Amino acid sequence: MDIPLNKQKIALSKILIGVVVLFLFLLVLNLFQKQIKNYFYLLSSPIEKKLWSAGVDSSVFFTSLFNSNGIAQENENLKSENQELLDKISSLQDAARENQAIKEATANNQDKNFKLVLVESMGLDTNNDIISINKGSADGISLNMAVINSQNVLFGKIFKVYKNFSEVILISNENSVLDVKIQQDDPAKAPIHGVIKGKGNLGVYLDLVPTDSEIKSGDILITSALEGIFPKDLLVGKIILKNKSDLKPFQTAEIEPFYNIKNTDKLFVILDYKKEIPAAK
Amino acid sequence: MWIKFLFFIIFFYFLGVVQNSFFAHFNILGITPNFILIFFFLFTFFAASKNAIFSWQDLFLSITAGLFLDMFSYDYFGVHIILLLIISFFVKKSFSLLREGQERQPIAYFVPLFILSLIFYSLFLSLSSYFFEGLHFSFNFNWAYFVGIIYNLAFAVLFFYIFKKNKLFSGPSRQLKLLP
Repeated sequence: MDIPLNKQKIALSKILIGVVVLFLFLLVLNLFQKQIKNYFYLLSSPIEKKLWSAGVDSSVFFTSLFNSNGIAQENENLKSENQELLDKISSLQDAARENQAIKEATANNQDKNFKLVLVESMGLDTNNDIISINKGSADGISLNMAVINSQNVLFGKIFKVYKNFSEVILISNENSVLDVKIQQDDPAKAPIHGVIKGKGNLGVYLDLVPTDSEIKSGDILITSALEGIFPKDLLVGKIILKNKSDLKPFQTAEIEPFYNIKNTDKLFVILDYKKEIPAAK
Repeated sequence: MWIKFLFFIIFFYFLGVVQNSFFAHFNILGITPNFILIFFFLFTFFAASKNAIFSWQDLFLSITAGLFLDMFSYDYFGVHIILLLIISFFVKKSFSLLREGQERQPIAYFVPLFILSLIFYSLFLSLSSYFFEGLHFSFNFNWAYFVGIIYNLAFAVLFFYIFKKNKLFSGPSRQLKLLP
């Protein structure tokens, strides 16, 4: 009769010892989490970089293979969009000439606020819309720094920093909220503000646009710099479909973001952005 | 035996690097297959079909796979380890309860167990982000989530049949019991 009881006691003590050992193991791992993850990514970064590049090349190959009709249609769409843009450029040139001197001065001031560091992306956590990059605190990177590409498209901000690598939370992360302005055709009109919210799975949507504001498909969204993290005039996305309802106090819109993880090979972290205080009206 | 454990470590590391870097570009609606989870489930399922007792090997698998999942995510160490331990227990317990037919590893058991494990995996991670990182609870059972399940399931079923056809990993021949 005692034998089964002994066996149970032995089993229970095994479980208890196992739980304690596991707990201590996890405690040690978490105490040195930053160092462990840093060294792990340092060791893995050559392989990850190669696989990332291979993934970009392979996906482009398969996309073109399966989407040849789509590419032809996209080409036609881009041609007609280009024509419309050229038309808009010519009509804006008069106003542009008048503001040229002011714009140059503003651009120069803007450039003085930016100190950029070139980084490479190595991995993507699609569960949380987070990418990892190959530079960290040793390169001057710290939390909440904005991450852009060479075309000034906003990707996100620094979320976690380790010594030699960092994690970037994309604007599509469900916890991401970003104030934006909707570019107007007529610069004399008051800017329309909204909020870009991440919906996960690399998608974003526009929210909190006043119902009396006129927005339409094709409108470009840029950062407004109101929250002080992202500089102004960084490209965010364009409106695909607006959702307006009389029952809701704000209108929303589906957005096609400009950032594309397939083109995230080379990114830039803005190291030294100085928050511009908007001029009081 | 230690060679098998070394194989698991290298294999799960390789899967982690591939899913994080290469397969990031083959996402559907922003979802990529979670190969570590898929293979962990396959190993556990095939081992459970032979013997539904939780063993040291199952513990090692949970810790190794969980450690690499923690390494490639922003979560604290231990979140995925505990999660995979729970999934392992769940699979073992399910096998002890399910009726054993002529076939030892029926697909009819594999598919629902895998889907339930996937749903539990997402739910658990959302809860841990909410409690440990202070992020808002983000478990959305929407169209994209459904596509993600199908995407992962497609790979899981493919490898299930590869495992079965080649009689891969039917479980340890000498079972070191961890629990009665």
